[in-house]
Amino acid sequence: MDDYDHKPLQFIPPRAKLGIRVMGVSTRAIAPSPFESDRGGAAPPAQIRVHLEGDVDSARLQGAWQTLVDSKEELGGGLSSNGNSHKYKRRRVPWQRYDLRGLPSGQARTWLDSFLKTDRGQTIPVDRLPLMRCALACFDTGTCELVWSLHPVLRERIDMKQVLDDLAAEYGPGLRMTQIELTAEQATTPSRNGNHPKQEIAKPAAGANDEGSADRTNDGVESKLISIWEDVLNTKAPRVTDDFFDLGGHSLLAARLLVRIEETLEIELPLASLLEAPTIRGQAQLIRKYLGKAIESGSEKLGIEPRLVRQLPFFFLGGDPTFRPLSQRLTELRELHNLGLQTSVLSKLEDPYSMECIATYFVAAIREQVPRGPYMLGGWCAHGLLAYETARQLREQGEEVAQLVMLESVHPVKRNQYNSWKRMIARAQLKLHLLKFEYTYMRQLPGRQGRDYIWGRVRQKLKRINESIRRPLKVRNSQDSGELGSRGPLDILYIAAERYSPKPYDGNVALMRSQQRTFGFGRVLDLGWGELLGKNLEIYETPGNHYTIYMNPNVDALAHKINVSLRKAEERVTQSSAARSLA
Amino acid sequence: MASPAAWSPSPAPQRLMLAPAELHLWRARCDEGTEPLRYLELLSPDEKERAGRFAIDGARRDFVVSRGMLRELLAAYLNTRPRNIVLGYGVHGKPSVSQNGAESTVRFNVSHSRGFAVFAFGLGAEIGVDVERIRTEFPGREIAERFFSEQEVAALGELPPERSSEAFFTCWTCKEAYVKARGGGLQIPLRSFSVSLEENEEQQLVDERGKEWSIYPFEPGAGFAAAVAAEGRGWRLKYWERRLEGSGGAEGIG
Repeated sequence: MDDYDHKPLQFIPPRAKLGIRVMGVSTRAIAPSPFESDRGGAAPPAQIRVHLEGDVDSARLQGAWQTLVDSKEELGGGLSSNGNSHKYKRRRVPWQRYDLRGLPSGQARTWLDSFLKTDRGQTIPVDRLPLMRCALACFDTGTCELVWSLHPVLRERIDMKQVLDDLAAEYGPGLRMTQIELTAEQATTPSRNGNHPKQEIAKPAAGANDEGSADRTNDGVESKLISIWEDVLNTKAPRVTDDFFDLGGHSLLAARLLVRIEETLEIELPLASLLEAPTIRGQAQLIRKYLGKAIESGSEKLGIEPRLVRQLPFFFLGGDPTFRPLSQRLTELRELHNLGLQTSVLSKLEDPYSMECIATYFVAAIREQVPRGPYMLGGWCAHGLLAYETARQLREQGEEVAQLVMLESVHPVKRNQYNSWKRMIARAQLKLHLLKFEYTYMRQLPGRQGRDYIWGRVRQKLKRINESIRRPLKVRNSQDSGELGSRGPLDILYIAAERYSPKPYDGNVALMRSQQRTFGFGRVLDLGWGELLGKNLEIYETPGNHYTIYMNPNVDALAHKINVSLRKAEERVTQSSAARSLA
Repeated sequence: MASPAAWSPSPAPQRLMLAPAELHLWRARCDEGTEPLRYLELLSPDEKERAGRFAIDGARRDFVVSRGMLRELLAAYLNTRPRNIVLGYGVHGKPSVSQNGAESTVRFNVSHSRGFAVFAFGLGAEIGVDVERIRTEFPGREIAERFFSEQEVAALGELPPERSSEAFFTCWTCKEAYVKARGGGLQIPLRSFSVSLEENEEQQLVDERGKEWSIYPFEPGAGFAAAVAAEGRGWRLKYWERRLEGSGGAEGIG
């Protein structure tokens, strides 16, 4: 995977220096994720790989898959009836698409192996629907591979072959599917399953049934809550989705509300519960959970109310598999598109060292997948700058970009104006963070793999030394001649970032900051963006350092915060389009 | 409750200065004669959107006016324009301000209740402030029993009934100011620490990490209770009044 390895410390020492090898880290071994620790039903997924040939249209396949899931009880979907109306309950199946076209077949193979390994490291909790996820990887040869990962409990209950046949039928003609293999994890399923009896699958299904009924205000708990809220907030008919704090609620009223709930429903909720569930609907769920009358369905706990707010696609730039834990979390929450950089693409660009030029390519790639906005974009570090420039160009083309999320991205010009010795210290500090991470990683690798890892690093180092000796001998700087040499795509991106000077942007921007800040410019809260973005800039702090924010266990907090900022944007878009349609 | 001799009208209109160990407390009305629209212009898109979501007009007005005033005051302290103020938010939503790209040493906190806003500013230390209108019909006793510490409940129980409402609100604002200063939002259980009910007393607390905090209850106006909490000890409090255009005082701030 030289394609993803790259020389460090050009811009901000890139995380991707960790390289693709990091993907294989069992994230749980570093620290258990708080999300997973209390879930008895979390298990590594069973993976089913399906080889696809022919006319593969990702969106169409995703649609077919969703239709299939919606119609099958055993996959967590199905029809639920509510009085005289029937309603589909939609459980959006996490769907990821990886475009590996342009990658030599050997590298694509390695990529896929690493992907499968990391995917296995990401457990699927039984109490959080959906119990499966899909990833579609597309290769140069015009073939694709679908990785279908599902909870072992679910695996037990379904006829895999039947599901795939149904999927092919749903997709229509022009597609040939061959099941390649079940992963080794599969073999251990029955024994794992012993701990999680089959009934567990019924729980979320029951929750889902409950969730499917359209008019939830008929629910006893909700109607009681409505009258309590009316009384405490002195307001008329709050909607079940109204936020307590938007209705003029504050902590003293929260206390009063909870006292009233305690009197009426005999249930004691902590004050902090209102932060977790600030709506009547959320609170009712929390109460039902406490009362044990119904099992709350997982995705709602995470704050998804799919029918109320228009969901927008989120493009996360940076296809590097080290982001797997983050993209996994985000995919559970929303529609996510990962877009990565490839040397093959860069070499075709007019000036691969120009951020504007790279961004133009991404604008096209995004519009190929989703032709019209509103879009939402994000990226970490230099990829954040790429997202910035891409968003700017999209807006220039008249498209709406509802939200831009930059993770630890530094304003390059401002940073370069900063004290140079402080920058040096910062680089050393980041290098230390990196070493610490690698040390942890090394320790959990079995003997041979550990040796391979060290050997890989040594080889990488030698190659760089070799290059640095040869470079001065060349007549012209290869950077200027547009030649890419042996540089990986991230090397190139970091050089482009170094040269990039961000132009003004008037959309909403969320900046995710690590709580553990790097020395020097890293201490600057807004990383230099305040002046350029002014009031449009929102800053969120999230636990971890420059690298560890998107690793377990910090990744939960980060994914949550990204989701919050995206949801706000979606609410804004929903509201403004509602306002437009009224006008 | 510490009742300041006077809430001075705001000092030098263009620029406000904080001395070390000084806490500036501001009070302002959000309802009388304020122009929410003027303040609305100062808010960030995010805040505007939040303002749009409020279902109650009064709450919306309080929010818009207090946020707008906050930006004006911050601009005066930071010697910039209200529009240049960039607010950041901590893990539990506590706002902070950055200046020239770096987190500013000016710390602040805001609270509003029923048309009345209180702002606190200080240098370098975390600050929290809370104001509540004293309501005699409010079920303070139940709330205290549910959320306050045992000592506080006992102390409240010993008071004659006519004093209990005011004591409850004093106690609540002290606790709330402390929680806000810590930046923990509703996450810090109110039962996990105790404050005194003495109204004139500067109070000291030490948190679980050994940090010292001071809490000062004060009276922002008749019928309201308020308190400010700040990291460290020995703060000098100054009381300012934010007057609106036309009524003299803070004209031209920012």
